[in-house]
Amino acid sequence: MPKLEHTSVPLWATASPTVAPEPDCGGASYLLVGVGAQGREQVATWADALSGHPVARVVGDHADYVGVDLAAALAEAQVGVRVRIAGPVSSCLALRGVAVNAGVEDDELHVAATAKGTIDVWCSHCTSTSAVEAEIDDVVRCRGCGRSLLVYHHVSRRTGRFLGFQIDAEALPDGLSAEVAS
Amino acid sequence: MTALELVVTALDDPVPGVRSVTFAAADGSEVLPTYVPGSHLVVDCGGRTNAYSLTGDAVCPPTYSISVLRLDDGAGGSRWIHDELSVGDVVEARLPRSAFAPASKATRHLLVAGGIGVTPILSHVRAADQWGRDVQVLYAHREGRGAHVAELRELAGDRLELYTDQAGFVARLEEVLAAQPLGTHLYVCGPTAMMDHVLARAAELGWPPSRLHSERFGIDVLDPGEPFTVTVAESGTTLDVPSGTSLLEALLEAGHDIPNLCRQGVCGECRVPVVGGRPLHRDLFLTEDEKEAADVLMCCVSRADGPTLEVSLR
Repeated sequence: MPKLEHTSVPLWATASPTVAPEPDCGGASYLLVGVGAQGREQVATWADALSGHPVARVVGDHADYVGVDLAAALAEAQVGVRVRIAGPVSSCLALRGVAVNAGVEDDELHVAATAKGTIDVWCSHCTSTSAVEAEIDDVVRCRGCGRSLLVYHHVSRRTGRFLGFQIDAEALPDGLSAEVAS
Repeated sequence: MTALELVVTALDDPVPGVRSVTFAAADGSEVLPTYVPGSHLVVDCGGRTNAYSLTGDAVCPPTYSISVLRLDDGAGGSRWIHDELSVGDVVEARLPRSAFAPASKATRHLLVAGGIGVTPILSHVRAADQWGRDVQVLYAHREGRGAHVAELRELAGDRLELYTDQAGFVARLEEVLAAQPLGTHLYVCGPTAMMDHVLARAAELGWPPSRLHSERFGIDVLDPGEPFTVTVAESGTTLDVPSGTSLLEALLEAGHDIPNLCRQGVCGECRVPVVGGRPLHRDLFLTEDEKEAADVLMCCVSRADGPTLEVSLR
């Protein structure tokens, strides 16, 4: 596997999501996004540090619902806003997708993953998504088609899902020899 | 192929002090290379090369157009275009290049032009019109000196705002910068002081660097700099670079063949690796990270931060 910084996988989405750089304080306003108890906690900490600045919060317990509210908030947002996201890795990845799709630039976005949890793996064969506890390079079973998927070191900026593909796609099925196959 | 031979097909003075030049391919080709909106053409102006923004259609254009402000105290390129260039003349140019392209992800483009800085902005507005992009244009110019106003009005309609007084422009800029929907990118071209103001106010109003795009005409007149000595690593020879002489000039004088073009720290042609000493960067080409790394410099404008510098010319 190449060095992660040369891939689409952000450092905060890896096994030790503790090394968050300091967030940018140069915004005209802030949109603080939290998922789960730890996410809300982080949002509260950020809000305290930003007292006196215009701050809006979008918090909840499920990334899908938070994503809807985040998209609505970003549709009204103006240049100058900074978005900060806190929550489990898979929520952060999904919500980053919402932000990116709404036109948020990387230098306007800060992510603090609060826990590893599951990750979403997208099957490139049947296109279903499996939430699994796994690391990059692990092999997991696709919930849609049952194939054994390698969790590849690519995660979509748009959807927040890791790419999964069949680990043994080029191996011949049992009982089939190379001559017969050719 | 990077060189173009162009023939002047039309000259026009749309406003006092500005000459618009139209070129076609000297070999009779009907189409010139397509370029990115905001590109400039490096033209050989009677022995010196100057970069001018292209103002016309960018896709398969039959002609290239530039508009040149006459600078009586400039280095001579603009005077040459105003005084020497005639219809039918053939000039050498480089292929258009761009460091001022529209951001493909932007959902709205805020274009700010000052004076002759309108030229790349016009190119952006044309592209925006062709692709149906959302634009807003602020154009500040001196009374009676607004080049390309009619074309901009036709392309941008009431999305074009004109200012001939500085106070009015500055006040409106504040309002506009503070009220842009997310997804807007800012593009500014104009005099240095104006660009510095626009970019500084944008940053103070929370615009991140990724949304800010600027095209500078070149560095304002630089101070002559402190004298230093430069050692060429390969030969071990040492040269004096006096105050007022550029490192590039000193190296060329000593017989080193250094590729160079704009001699203003803009084009990136004269990049030289630094192997000893600290460079004093004065260019607009290298990124902040590259300047920080201190292992390369643009020798046309940059000097030594200290008494000595060692460069590699392999």
